[in-house]
Amino acid sequence: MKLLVTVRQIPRRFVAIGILGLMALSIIAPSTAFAATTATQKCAPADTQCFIAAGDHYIAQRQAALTTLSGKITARRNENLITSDQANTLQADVGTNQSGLASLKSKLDVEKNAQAARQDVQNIFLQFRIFAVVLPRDYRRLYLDMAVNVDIKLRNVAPKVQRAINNAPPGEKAQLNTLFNDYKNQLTTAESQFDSAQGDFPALTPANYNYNRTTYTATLAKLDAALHVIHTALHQARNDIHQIAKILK
Amino acid sequence: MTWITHLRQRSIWFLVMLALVLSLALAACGQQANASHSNATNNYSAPQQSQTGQPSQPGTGNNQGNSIKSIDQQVQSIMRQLDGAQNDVNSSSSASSQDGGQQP
Repeated sequence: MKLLVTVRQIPRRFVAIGILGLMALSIIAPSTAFAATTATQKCAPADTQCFIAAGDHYIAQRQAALTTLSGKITARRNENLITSDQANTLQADVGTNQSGLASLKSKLDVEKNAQAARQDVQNIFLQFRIFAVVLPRDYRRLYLDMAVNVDIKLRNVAPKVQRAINNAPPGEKAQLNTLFNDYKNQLTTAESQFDSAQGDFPALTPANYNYNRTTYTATLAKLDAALHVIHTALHQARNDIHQIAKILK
Repeated sequence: MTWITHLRQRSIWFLVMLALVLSLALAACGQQANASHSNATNNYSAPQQSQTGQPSQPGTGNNQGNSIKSIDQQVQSIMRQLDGAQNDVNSSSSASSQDGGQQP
């Protein structure tokens, strides 16, 4: 009874806030419950096994992330969104990093000296830079490869769209032509960025990340700017096609 | 206790229950949306393959409208895939900090 009286005395705004909080929690909780936890581990300077265990953990994380990337490359290839050459280039990079990490793990697992084991662990970061360099670079390359192919597909449908516009009622042609011209211009805008974006990838290396960070950061920013232009232009072209389809339905 | 007190208590419990039901419904909707999104992306190749067998001439009248509609659907589908790739780029950028400050 006391509880009911207490509850009754709670101001209504607190009840409302509580309900809203509960709703927010129910939405947020599932996503945070399964979020990856980062286990930072500190090893004693002479604890070789601790360094080996930590290194194995970091290597497993990176191998898993590379396997995920490899799966996505295969999926996009199977969907004909990238060519076999494009897929092979990306898979080769994944393979190089995975085999490099596997070799490092083999070396680390038999270390008898804590200092050597610690150096191996540092090399996971310094030599490979899987999360800092490889994955951001390769996902961008995958995106660019897809964008180039999307552009080709959009160019290929242009003659069909043109014929449909030619057969449209005279009253609709002006608006359709405006949309179609914008469609072509957007594709040209996207295409103007392809070469520049392709040229940025060679500078995105672990070595530049470690020792020439200014160049690395500037190149990544330049690449992102080009990808943004490409993304916006292709979306606008899609919107143009959608508008044309709505008028011609 | 007066009837007003009873009414208040019942209102509070009703609101709490309503909030729980709404929360569950929202969570379920979120899962459904995720599932349908992954289905949509996985099914991309189907319309693309069926389109390749169609004649290249768009025809006239309703055929023309259907052809453009089909192109529009193809383009929407491709762009959804491209958006997925863009999300992967963003996720990889967010995860890049894992290469720093974690060494034992």
